[in-house]
Amino acid sequence: MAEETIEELLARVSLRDRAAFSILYDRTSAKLFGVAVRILNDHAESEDALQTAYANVWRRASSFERGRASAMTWLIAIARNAAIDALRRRGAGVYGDERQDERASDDPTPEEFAETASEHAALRRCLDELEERQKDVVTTAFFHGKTYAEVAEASSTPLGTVKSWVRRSLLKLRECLERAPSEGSA
Amino acid sequence: MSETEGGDDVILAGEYALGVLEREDRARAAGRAARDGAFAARIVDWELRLAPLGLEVPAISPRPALKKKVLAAVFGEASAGAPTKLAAALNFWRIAAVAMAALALTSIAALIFFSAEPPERAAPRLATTVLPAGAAPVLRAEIADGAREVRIAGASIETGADEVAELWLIPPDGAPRSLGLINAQGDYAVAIPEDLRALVVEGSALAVSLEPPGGSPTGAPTGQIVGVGPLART
Repeated sequence: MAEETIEELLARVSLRDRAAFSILYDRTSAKLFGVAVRILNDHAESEDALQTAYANVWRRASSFERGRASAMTWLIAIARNAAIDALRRRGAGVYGDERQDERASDDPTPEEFAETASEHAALRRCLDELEERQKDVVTTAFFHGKTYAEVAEASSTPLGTVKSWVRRSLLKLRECLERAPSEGSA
Repeated sequence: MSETEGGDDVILAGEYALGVLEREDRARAAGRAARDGAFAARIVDWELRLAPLGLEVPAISPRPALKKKVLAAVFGEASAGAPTKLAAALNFWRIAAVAMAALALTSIAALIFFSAEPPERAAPRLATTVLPAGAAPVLRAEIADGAREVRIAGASIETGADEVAELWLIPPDGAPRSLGLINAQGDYAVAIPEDLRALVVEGSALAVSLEPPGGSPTGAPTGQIVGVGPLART
């Protein structure tokens, strides 16, 4: 029997299948932990965020709407949200341990996340339509969980400028994605 | 609500999803989302638009010991039935739940989606629900107040020669309960046993699995899950 897809595992998890949840964790935790560590830069906090994320996955699996986004996209959204909540709770002036000696895990096979990869390709194409500096601001915010003020400081750009870049970029991205949704899969 | 407010909402939801809001602004937006389903739905839209970028982040294996801790916390919480410590960090999914609740009618309805390529039909009248673009439901289910029966419309389930479709009720916490075998096609009603009616609440879900003739031999779903639909007041 072929290995179950992340979507199928998630369907089983929504039926309270603990074995499926365990497999889902094995298959996705390294990716989600990577996302949390990138944002929090702190292992202990990232572990807490990962635990929160998987608790949400267990509780909300039945709300995952197949066809609206890939399961991995849904999982990344949950993990990222847990990490950003943790980052904001941390408060100003506190930073992670900045440990950079991560041992990167083997990424899952490309076909494992094929559907997400095509969503990613569509998003990247749309990001490429933005001006370079605006794209940088959006991706910095995404990957590092930086606030407006932090992005402004890091890029030596006035706060008002950063805000207007981000807002304009968001609208352009939405417009672009609606124009060409996931055409990478075709 | 004016056009301008709608536009501002779209941007605020995007800012929330991207994560650029300062702490107080983020907390305020989360509070707003907890009360305002339309706003909550916009946040979810943005989350799903942006999240694929996370695919670029290199995977890092967490310590093996973490898995045990996560499973204990998650299953422990599930069996205790009352989440407490984790509740504070559930913004995103509280928001998702509110987004669904915002689609208000008087009955509880669920859409169950195909897992494979959706056929091209049945979509138009579902436009007011959280139907994903391009996907057609396996069936549409409605449960009136009192939870005596599930009214099923437009069932369209592909079953193999030696398979039957079984309907499940999944409570917010706890094991799936069988609602019995169902017809693969058509419109019909399925009675809900009296002892299960209390479990028919928002946050529960309906699911369909494919089982051997006679239904699941174990009392839990054993075969392929055809689809799952969260119950929401619509």
